[in-house]
Amino acid sequence: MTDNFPLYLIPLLPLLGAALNLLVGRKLNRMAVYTVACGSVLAAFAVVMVAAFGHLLPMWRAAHAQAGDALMATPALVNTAFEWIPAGAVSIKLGLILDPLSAVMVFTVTFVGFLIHLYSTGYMSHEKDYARFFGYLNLFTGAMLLLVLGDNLLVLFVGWEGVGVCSYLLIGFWYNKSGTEVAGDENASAGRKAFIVNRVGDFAFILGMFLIYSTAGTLNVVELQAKAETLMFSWNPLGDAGWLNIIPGIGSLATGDLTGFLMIGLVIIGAVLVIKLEQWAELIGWAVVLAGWGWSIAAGFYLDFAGTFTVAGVAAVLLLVGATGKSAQIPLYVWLPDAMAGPTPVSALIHAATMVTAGVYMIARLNFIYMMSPVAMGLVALVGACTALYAATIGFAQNDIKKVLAYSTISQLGYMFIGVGVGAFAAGVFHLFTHAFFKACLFLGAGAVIHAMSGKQDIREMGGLRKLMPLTHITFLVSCIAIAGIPPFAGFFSKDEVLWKAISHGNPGWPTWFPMLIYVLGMAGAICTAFYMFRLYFLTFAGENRADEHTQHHIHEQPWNMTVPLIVLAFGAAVLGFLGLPGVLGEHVNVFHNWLAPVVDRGQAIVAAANISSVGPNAFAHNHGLEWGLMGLSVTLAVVGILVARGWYAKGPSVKVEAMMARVPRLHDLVYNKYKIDEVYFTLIVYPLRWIGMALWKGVDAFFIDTVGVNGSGWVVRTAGRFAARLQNGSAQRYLVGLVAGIAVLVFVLTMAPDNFVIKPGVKVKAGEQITLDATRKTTADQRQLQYRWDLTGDGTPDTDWSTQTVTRHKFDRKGKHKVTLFVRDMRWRTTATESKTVEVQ
Amino acid sequence: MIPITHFLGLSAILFGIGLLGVMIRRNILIIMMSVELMLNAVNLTLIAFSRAWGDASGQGFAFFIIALAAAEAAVGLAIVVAVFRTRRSVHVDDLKLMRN
Repeated sequence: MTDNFPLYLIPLLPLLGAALNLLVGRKLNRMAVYTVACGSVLAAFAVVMVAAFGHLLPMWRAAHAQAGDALMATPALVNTAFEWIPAGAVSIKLGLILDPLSAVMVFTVTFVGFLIHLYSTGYMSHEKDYARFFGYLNLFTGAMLLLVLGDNLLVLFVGWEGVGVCSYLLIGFWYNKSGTEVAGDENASAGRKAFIVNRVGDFAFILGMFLIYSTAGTLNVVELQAKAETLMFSWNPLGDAGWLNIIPGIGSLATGDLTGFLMIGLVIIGAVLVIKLEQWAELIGWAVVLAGWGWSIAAGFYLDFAGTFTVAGVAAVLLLVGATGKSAQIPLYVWLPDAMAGPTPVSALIHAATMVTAGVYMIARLNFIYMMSPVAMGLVALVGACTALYAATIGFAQNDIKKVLAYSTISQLGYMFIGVGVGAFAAGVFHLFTHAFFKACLFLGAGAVIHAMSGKQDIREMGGLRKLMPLTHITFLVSCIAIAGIPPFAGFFSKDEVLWKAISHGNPGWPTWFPMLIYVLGMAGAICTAFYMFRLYFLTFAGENRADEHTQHHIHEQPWNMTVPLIVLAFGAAVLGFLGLPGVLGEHVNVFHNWLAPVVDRGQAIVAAANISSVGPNAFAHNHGLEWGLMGLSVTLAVVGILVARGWYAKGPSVKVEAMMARVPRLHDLVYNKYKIDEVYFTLIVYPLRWIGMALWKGVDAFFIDTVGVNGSGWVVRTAGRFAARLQNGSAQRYLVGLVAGIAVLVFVLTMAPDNFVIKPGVKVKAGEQITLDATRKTTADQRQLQYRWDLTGDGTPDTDWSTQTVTRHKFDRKGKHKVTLFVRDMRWRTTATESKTVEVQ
Repeated sequence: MIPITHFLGLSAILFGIGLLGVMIRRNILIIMMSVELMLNAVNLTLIAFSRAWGDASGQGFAFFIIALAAAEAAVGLAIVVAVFRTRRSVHVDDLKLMRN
């Protein structure tokens, strides 16, 4: 490691660009703003190039030569900008690290980011508020670079939140598009939704960080690797808190068994049925929800007697929840489709190429923590596989060109999760890398189409653009082929490697059928992907144009600053796959994996040293015949998907297809409405939260705090003041009356005879025995002359004469309770008082 | 000889009448008379005790009080005259301006 390279320049340059554009951009002309925005990212890209090829690559080569076939030392440039949080023993530094993994990420972010900036100069050329837009874009790029380069989780988290904020700002960029008041604007609510949904995940992320810090005492990734074993600390809270089992899957986390988590799928399916369309389905839905939940709980209770949590496992799952928010996975993916409300280049930059990859990157970065918990790994893979298929099926029925791409993004992110979930971190990151190119190209192509179509986004109104926009058509087609997984385009290599690793990796803690399940889900998603992407392609570019004449008249190719990015990205989508050739072609042909190995294989080495049975190659891993076969299968299925799409949609939406959909109206409706997941969330979470909020507002805030607390105390003081004000009326005579009345009361009280006496004895008095009764005054501070007499028979009249002594002797003849009374007389004022006592005679 | 309690009783009655006058009458002149009455009730008490215990200092105090009462009457009446000149009234309810 070296410490002399100014890595801080990489995030700083775009951040400076953002500061410039946001602070003084309004006064600059278009050209200056464009230059600052694109130039700062390009400069950052140049720094990345120098750092990666000038410094990191030689280090990598040296380390590689030294290690031979063994795992090499991690080559890395580190750079501590300053000590950020010095607090006694806690010292958080704003440290940056450029190792092979973050090098791939910063390359992607700056390179694809620059192309998108360039594209935006064309796309936003009619936008009045261009300075704000480019300021946000730069801010976003800077935050993403900080996220990627951070050498500890806290710096990563700053970038993590930074991209979240920029996402909110950019999704709601046209926050007043509807022309209504801002609060009701669709775009603005889409921005808020993205922010709030991400907040849920970030909360879990923070908890995960706390857990790691409190256990290992550091958040620095390199230091964490050294202290990885402390994260194996395990404990069994379920012994004391079995109720925790009501959280689905928690028992599974403790025992290392995946069953409970798998049942969550049942809960979700049931919830969909509950919200769905018919009465009967609601009943079945609740039954399925309860069954899935019950099973999960039962599995937890049953298994958990031997079960313990490890810090690594719990932290990994918490961080995973954070990742599902940022990377738009089940269950927190719902914000991404809505995020299409932002300008199209934003969708390309944030919601395809960079920000949503943060979760995948984080898991790859913390691979050694995940590797320590096969359950967490399995959960990552399961989430990814379910999302991959689930989002792909929604893509079938969407008619908005950007919505299709949005679900496609969610689906592709699912593949990345499968990759990192089955321990093939390099494969996951490779798919991230190729996806950044072809998905950015698709989004930018879609932007060009929308631009040409005068803002129309419905693919049913498009068609025939092949002739009208040949260049866009070619780049779009290349990217579609890439994402569909046809060799030799990039998507084939990356997706196929993920799927192959899914079936050829396993863990003793997983059910034997689990890799198969992941593979089948992923493969099914791949067919769907090929189908809906080419449905999109054919509806948009094939056949005749279906738009009205006015729109048709405007269709044109775009200027050079929009086409150049398309061509570059399409080129990447076509050829980048060769960086990650499959293992069947030789041991070390996967350049991408070799490059990442010192980082992503570190976890394997750490858990192996700690004797943990982690996720790794299983019996299939070296079966080359199987690998060839599955490769052929996936290509065949992709081709089938494409051909089906061609048959159905090559000439636009056909009567035949309409009729087919009409035959299953309910199913089509369900898919078209995204399985009504938003409605499910609203019913299960948002509405209850609103009710709670309403109750807190009306009950606690409006009534208790406002009415009782604030207004109430004001009312008390005001009322008291009104009465008190009457007393001070300026009439000295009335004051005098008060004075005289007070004196009268004082005199009366001071002259009363005292009655604070304790009479003894009270109990254990024998009948027929002569006893002594005595009264003692509790306070004797004054010098009053007092006389006493007693009533011993309880008839109310005194039985003895006045005496200065309190003592008297008496004999009680009868058993039972007797009331005795002491009379007290003040000699000076002639006032009297009495003190009574019940004496129990036995 | 008349017992001292009779003097004290008379004195208390006079003081009470004076106090009541101060409290309930609204004419400044009557109030000042009532104050005189209270002062003289006190004088009576002092002289009664002085005589009962054969100690002349009580009578000395009484003279002081008479002198003081004369001074008070002089100053008080002067104020009353001044007030009457400005307000054409000797009614205390008209003299609440110290408030506010």
